Amino acid sequence: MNQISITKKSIIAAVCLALCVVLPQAFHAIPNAGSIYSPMHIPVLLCGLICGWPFGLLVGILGPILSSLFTGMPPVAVLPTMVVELAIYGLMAGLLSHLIRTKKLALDLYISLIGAMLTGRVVAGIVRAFIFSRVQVTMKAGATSYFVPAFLELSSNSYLSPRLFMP
Amino acid sequence: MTQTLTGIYLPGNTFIHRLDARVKFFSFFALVIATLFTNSWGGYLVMGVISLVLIYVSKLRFSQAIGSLGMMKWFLVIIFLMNLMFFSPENAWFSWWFFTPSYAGFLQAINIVFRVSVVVILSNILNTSTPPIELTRAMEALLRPLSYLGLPTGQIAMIISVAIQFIPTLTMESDQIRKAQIARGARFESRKLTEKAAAIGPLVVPIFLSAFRRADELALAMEARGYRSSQKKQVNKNVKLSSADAFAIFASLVVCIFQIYFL
Amino acid sequence: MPIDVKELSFTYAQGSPYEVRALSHLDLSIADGEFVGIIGKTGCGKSTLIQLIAGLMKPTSGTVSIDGEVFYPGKTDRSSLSKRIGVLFQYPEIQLFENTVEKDVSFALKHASLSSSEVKEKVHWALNAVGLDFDKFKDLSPLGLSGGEKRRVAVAGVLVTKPEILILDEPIAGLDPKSQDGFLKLLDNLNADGTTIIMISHNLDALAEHTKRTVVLEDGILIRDASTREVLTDTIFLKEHGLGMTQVGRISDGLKNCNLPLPELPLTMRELCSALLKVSA
Repeated sequence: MNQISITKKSIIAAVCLALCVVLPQAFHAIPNAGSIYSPMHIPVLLCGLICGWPFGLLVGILGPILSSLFTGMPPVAVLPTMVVELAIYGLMAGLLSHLIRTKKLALDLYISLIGAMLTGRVVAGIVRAFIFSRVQVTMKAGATSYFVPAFLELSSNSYLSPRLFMP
Repeated sequence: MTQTLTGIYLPGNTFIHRLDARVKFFSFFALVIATLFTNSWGGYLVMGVISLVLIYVSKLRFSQAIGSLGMMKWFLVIIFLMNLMFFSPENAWFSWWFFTPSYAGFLQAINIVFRVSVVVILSNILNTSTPPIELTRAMEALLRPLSYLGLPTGQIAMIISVAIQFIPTLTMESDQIRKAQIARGARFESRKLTEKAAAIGPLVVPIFLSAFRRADELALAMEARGYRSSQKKQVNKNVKLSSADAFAIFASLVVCIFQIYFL
Repeated sequence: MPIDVKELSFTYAQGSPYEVRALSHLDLSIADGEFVGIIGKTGCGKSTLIQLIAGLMKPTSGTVSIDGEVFYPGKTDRSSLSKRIGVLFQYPEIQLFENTVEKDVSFALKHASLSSSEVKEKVHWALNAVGLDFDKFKDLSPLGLSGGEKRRVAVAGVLVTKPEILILDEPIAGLDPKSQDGFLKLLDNLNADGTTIIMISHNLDALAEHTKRTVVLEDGILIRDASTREVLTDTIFLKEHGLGMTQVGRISDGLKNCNLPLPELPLTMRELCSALLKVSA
């Protein structure tokens, strides 16, 4: 992925950023209590994979912010958690794709993506607990409401990445 | 083409509409910090009154300002109940199963719900009174000082501008793709989890492919024209602030300090 | 399945400051087997109209009825109707997404409860109809094909359900002349087989040669609904509303200005040629 010029990486990042705003609209993401299962993680992860961690991090941070500014979604209260989570997604996707070098492209992708998402979810879960600090939320309730969407995202990602990288 | 109507820009000519976007951002942050530090009934009253005044001045209909709160109501209810029940087992009124409601919990619940509500209302006012382009320009301007830390703010600004330019085109295209796939029998509105996950492919893959195709074309065009990423863009900025702007900055700072130290 | 549109109105973003009135009180009836062209300047509401007819959006007021049943998203179970109505949007190749051509074309049959051999048969037929060899293309990735081939695959994906009504938005835009001819011929064949065809196009020549009825929209209002012959030979009307002219119309007009008017107003190239032969005789 080092053969792509900075200009091209910037444009790809810009497009991914735009998609962070456009995709949730296309999906009519429905807010539920606390976590929005939104497709915003897809462009962030892709950006991290293709352009490297700085761009992935940038898109992860700016994506939710821009989307909130333009469409009011995600609502501001959820914004901090989302920014942290997506920022980690972008960062880790970039780092892992750089570090992991098995012989197979598909395997690299899967490991990077899953690693990024697990880290992202875990860190975001911790931050969220922090925001709820001093409330003794039962671990089970918090974990379930958080990790079930994560599982959905994982499965949808495993379906999508081969499609997007093969042509 | 449906649109969520809370949180997007509504044109107007109120005092708030006329403030410089950077000033609004600054005031917004100052007021948010003030809210996060409120800790007494008096403090809540002050912030509540300020919010109402701002809603009135921005000529926002009350229903619109409260709108996004409505969308979050379950979130707020859950937070309220969780804090009420679990915050402080030591001073509980009574104990049943693992629920331990307490006065301290009740206070904390009100605290958090109040803070979240005020922040949401303030951000709503910010969003509806400022065109998104100006908001992002304000963000870029406020980030500019960070360039001294080595952050490539010019590059970041370019990425944000290009992204904004792409948003309308990609929105129209994704709308068409969505309708085309629905016409082919795709089910996006389904409640079933498995169908929802499967619905992603026909929608997301084409959107991404066409988006990346445009990225390719644009990058090619830019490189062909000799664009160098290290170029500094000359931004023609209106640095002058009006007296209204100065008043806004002053007022929000006052409120902020007041809340932190006195309430 | 006759289409009946009554008092149809549509407003985008209603209630917001961005409100746009796209259609106003439209009345339209299309019988089985018709071949109708829809023309109008950009922004006149054509795309909105066909999306409403196809049941992809809900009218602000008024009704769209298909086969006597009122139709809008959420009301009738779309899957039953979606197989009987095919919609081809502009540049349809952007809707391709599957791994293989076969899978993409068969997407519309996914909820059709057909056996896999029946599905294969229909895909075979659809690819043949658009001029692509089934065995050669079925396992290729649609995204690696040429532009023209992609377009054909997309069209096959819509035809595969053998819809009774086919709605098309600028279907020949961006195609080379040979492909345009091929496509229009395909439409003729489908129409001959009984498919109702509704086509939006700026290409008046194509409409003159293939459609029987023309509907004209302007600023969301239906201003004319008559036979293609009547509308497309009326060069004054076309000029007045900024709709352009057919080549045939231009030639007839030119001849009239040179004091060589033709006895009857020709619509198609063929009629123009016979009229010229008659005059020169």
